Amino acid sequence: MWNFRLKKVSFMLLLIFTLFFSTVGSADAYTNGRKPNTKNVEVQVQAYNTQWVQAYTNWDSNHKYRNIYSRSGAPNIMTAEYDSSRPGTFGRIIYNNGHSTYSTPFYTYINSYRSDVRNSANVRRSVASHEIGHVFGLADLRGSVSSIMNGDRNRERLTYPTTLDINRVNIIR
Amino acid sequence: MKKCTVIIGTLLMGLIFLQACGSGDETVSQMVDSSDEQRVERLEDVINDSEVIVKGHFGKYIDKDNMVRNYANPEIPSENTYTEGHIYEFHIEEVYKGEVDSTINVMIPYASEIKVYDENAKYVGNVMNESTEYKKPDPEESNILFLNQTGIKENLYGPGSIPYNIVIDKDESIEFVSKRIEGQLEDNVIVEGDSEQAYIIHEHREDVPADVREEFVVIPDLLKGKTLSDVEELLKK
Repeated sequence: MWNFRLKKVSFMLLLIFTLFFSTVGSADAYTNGRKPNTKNVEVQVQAYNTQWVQAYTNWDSNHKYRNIYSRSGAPNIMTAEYDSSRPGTFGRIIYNNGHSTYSTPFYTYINSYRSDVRNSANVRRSVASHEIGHVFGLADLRGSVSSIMNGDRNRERLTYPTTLDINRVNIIR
Repeated sequence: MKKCTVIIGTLLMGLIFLQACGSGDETVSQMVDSSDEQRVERLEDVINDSEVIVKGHFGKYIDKDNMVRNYANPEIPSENTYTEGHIYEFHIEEVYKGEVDSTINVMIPYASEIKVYDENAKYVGNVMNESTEYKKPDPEESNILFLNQTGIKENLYGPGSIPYNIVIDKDESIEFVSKRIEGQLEDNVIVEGDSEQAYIIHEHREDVPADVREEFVVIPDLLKGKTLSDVEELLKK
């Protein structure tokens, strides 16, 4: 009888520990563990307006649970910088929120130091779409996967989120 | 059965207590700095990306400046983003690519400023994160630098690629300066699964408590199996 109880207790303890540790700091491989803290993401576009607007309009039309649009004075900044310290970087995003699960407010820029960024609207649009993917909780990927989050993608050709990206943000919500 | 309930109850309370203790870290802001980067695969990529490739040694420190500039006019520093670059003289012994004077000024990335916000997105202060490619220049060492004109000032060069600085040791062994190269990863670089994505947590615990997660791509060992002669031969082609 005592043995049976001991087994029962051990099983319950195992269950509790599993539940406890599975909820602490875990994130799926394709997510960065963050998402906007509001349903509506209001942005302020300060440079390369055409490509930022094209990129967020595309995301907006495909995301079932979030809206993204421009508003003067909004805290989420989409812009461009000439970052000579990062010659290999096309774009960068910094979450201006110390909360570990929120991606907004954010500051993101396209790096005009790169000549391919300056010379190609497609590259700029691809970078803008990528950075907005981070806003919606997608993580960076590598390899052959067809995704706007793939750092190895051809930025001239892949300029908008793929079906995979759209499915994933709609799972993240 | 009562005994079991007491044991489970005690353990549950213990776990809740432990979790509460862990959540003391919530006063530490969790910031993220992520880049959409091109991964260099071969030394030839670094060569092609650079306008100027030179061998020589660093001279005196000149000044510091913001390496992030206005997107349309690099003569104007950025109003929102700050990456501190340190400007040094660089005395040239050999030019492999480009046309340069015998001494040039090189601005090397030192550290990036991150504005820290609390859990309610309220600004609390700034922290500086050292660049993964930073090493204080040593005038006694020889270096091969892969550079581009910064466009910030005349005769001011910056990295043409990442990585951009090969240090040549006295025994002629060579190594790119970087914390994120396969085979020479710094202890605090965490590679995500078997991917090439990685990150460092910059821990700040003094004036502005923050953990800044800097995400980047791991760079392959571009010099694997190569001697200084092999590299120089490639550069002279």
